[in-house]
Amino acid sequence: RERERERERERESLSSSSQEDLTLYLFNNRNDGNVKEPHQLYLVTLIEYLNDESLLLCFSKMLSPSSPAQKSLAEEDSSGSDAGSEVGLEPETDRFGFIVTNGSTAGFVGPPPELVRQREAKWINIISQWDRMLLKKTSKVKVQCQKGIPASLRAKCWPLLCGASDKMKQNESLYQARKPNMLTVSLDEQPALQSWVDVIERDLDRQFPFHEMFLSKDGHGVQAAWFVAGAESAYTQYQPEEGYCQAQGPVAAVLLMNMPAEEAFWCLVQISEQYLPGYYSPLLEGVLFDAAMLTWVLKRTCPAAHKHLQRHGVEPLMFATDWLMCLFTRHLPFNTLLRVWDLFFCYGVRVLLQVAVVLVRRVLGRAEQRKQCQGQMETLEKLRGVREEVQEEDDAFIAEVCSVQLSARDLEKQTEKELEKWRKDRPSSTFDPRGRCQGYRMAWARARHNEEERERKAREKGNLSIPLARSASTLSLSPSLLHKRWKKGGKANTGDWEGGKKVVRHLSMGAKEDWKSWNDINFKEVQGVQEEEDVVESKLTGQSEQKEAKEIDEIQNIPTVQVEETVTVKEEIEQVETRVSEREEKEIDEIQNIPTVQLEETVTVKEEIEQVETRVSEREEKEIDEIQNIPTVQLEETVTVKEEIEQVETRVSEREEKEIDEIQNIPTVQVEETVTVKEEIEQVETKSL
Amino acid sequence: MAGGSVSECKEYLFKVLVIGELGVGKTSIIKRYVHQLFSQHYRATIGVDFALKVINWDSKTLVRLQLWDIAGQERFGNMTRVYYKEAVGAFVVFDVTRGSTFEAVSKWKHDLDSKVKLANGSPIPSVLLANKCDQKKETSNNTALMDNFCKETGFLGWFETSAKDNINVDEAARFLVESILANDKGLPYEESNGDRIKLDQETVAAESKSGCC
Repeated sequence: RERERERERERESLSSSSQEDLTLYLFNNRNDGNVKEPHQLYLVTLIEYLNDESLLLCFSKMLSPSSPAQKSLAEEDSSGSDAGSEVGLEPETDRFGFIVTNGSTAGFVGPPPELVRQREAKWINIISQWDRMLLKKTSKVKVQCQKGIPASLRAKCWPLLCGASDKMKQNESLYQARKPNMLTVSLDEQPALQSWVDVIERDLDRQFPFHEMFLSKDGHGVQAAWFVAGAESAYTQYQPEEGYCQAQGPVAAVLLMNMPAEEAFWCLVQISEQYLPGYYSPLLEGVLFDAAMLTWVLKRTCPAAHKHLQRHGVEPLMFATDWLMCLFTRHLPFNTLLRVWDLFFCYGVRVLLQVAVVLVRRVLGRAEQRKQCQGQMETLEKLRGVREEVQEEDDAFIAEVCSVQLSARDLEKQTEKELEKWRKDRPSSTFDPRGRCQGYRMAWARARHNEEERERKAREKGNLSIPLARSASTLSLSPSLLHKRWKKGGKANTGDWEGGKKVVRHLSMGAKEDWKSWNDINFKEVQGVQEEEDVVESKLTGQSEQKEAKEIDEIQNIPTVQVEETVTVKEEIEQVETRVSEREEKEIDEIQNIPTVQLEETVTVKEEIEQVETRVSEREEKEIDEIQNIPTVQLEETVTVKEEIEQVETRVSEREEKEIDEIQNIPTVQVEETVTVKEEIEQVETKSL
Repeated sequence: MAGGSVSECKEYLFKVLVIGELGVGKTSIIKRYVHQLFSQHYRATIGVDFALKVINWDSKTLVRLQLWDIAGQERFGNMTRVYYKEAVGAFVVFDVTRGSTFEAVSKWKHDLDSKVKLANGSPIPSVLLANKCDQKKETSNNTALMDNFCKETGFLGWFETSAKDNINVDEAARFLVESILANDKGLPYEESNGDRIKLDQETVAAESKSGCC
């Protein structure tokens, strides 16, 4: 009884803090109280998080009348923008904020809400233990990036993946110091910047003319873009040779549509400096180099198209310059673009080359297509119109991209070769693409390295009191706990909303200290739990060592799910499934508990599941060794079958990479009987007591 | 015109570059010329863009004009060699409302002449476009100055244009194509049947009116 009550209290405290917790994920670092910041984005983020499309629609309607953008559009009605004239006072926007015209993405429906939620949970789990995730050898992040980062979490994930989060922390003072400058002091007062401010101004409203953020010069999108540009000017004062490159405009625009200005700025910095050095520099050496790389990749992966291009004197620089420099912002449907960027932040420049190959294939892959474009101009015209070849087919497109054979090692080798040629042709060039960041692992490693450097320097100075920059992960909750909290939080929508608001207000008043201390408290509170879990983990490790010998053969035999290869997925899944079920049979004795839940009434059952889970995890803590299976919830068939297969895949591929001792979970899907949930709970209870 | 059967139609393919500082209206001019459209909302050209204009020059001549719209930002200069290849004519554009863009004209012309030449080694014919003339503030007449500038820097001529108000765009194009055709004597794109085009000089003079030297 005592324990029951304790648990009750614990749960209450968890659910109440989970609201703030979540909001903090989404509102992180937006505590400056500046109204000009694109607060709209937070709301979109939140609303998308709540997965309520109708709310989103309401929201964009709500915004419309008050936005100066729309007014000016009405005035400008006849001035000839291609689509503007069809739009009334309140332009309808799609889920991305684009004004709806013929052929836009209004009809696009994302993955089903349940799936989105599961993915969100996985990502929150990943985010919450980011450093640990990177120390382990796990493909979790990659797998999730391939599946697509949920829209609600891109604002958090992209900066995290590319190292912008770290950079932002390290340079807090730089940006903060510059910020008021950029917003209040007009740039005329800084004549040194004026020339390229000209350039930027000319560009800003040209990027995405039909996105509501960019509708007018007063629109806050443009303000924010200005802001990024301005911030970048601050930055380029330290790197004056870089300056602003036109192609950064569209990239900044897409970043701004997905996150607040400061994050967007640091993402842009990371892309320009780490992921794609030389892409935006005065000599554009990175682009020239990658154009040569693309020639090689094309030759390797689609020789017929490559031959065609050569025959007609079409060089990658003629069609791929803007593909590469703008990261395909102009050549893919918006959602496909976001998916491609998910991959890009994960793997780096390799993805750009892979996508380029896919696009070339789409245009020139078939013999009859090649026959149709006899001549340089015809070929170029086709390549330029490549967007028509990509429909709303995100998953298929991403699969196609991943199937282009180009490993990191291939890329490295060819980079060496290409660099040799490069240096022969351009003896004076100091460009060296070998050090560029090949994805999130490298970005993370570099951030760690920089941090260590800074600490070392600080120590040399004798200043030991310098505070350690604490990354998000050290504040993390244990994954299972967080998962529960998240679930709990997701249920009480209105409550969350209220709580969220409160936090927003709180943060926007600039109460940064409060915010920090809240985190610290939470950190201490949670640390205990996390440590406990670690203990459990290590004990389990001990036991699994015995099994290791037995299992190792089996594990090695589990077919590799290599997403980089074009394997027929179905076959694989079947194989995986059979293996898993084989193991099940062998281990059936050890398995004591597989609660099977059939979902009939979503809400009530969910609650019950949570209870079951709590109990099960309690048992874990008590070191009940034989438990290997965490209950898997079978939802309505449509969604789950797919997702489960994905889970199996994920787990299997994880296991390959992980040391075997970490293996604890094999999701088992057993739907044999329709057992009532209550019965099950009772079972669990009796066993756990 | 030269005698011969009516069915003898000659086809030419010309690659023409459109260059100049960023934001001077290169894309707008091309869009106006090719699609008869104008918008404030053209996005910045990254790298290069293309458009094709088919001209029924006369009853026996078809000209396919490939317009290469080259990014204006200076740093793309590192790529222009690839884009200039095999061009036979060029427009250099500047913005009459921004003096700096005119100052850059010589730079562009030099870049052009250093990277591409006709088969006989002479520079490719180029025409200077003073764009956005609809926004011109002062009405001072500097025709003489401009004529002189063209002579010095090697332009065939210059036009005040407005893509917005559709001023002189077609005329400028016609003027350039004429000189390309003149240069092209002996080098028709499609296999020649020996029937050369004789340019009607009167038409040239009549059509290339304002501001041309």
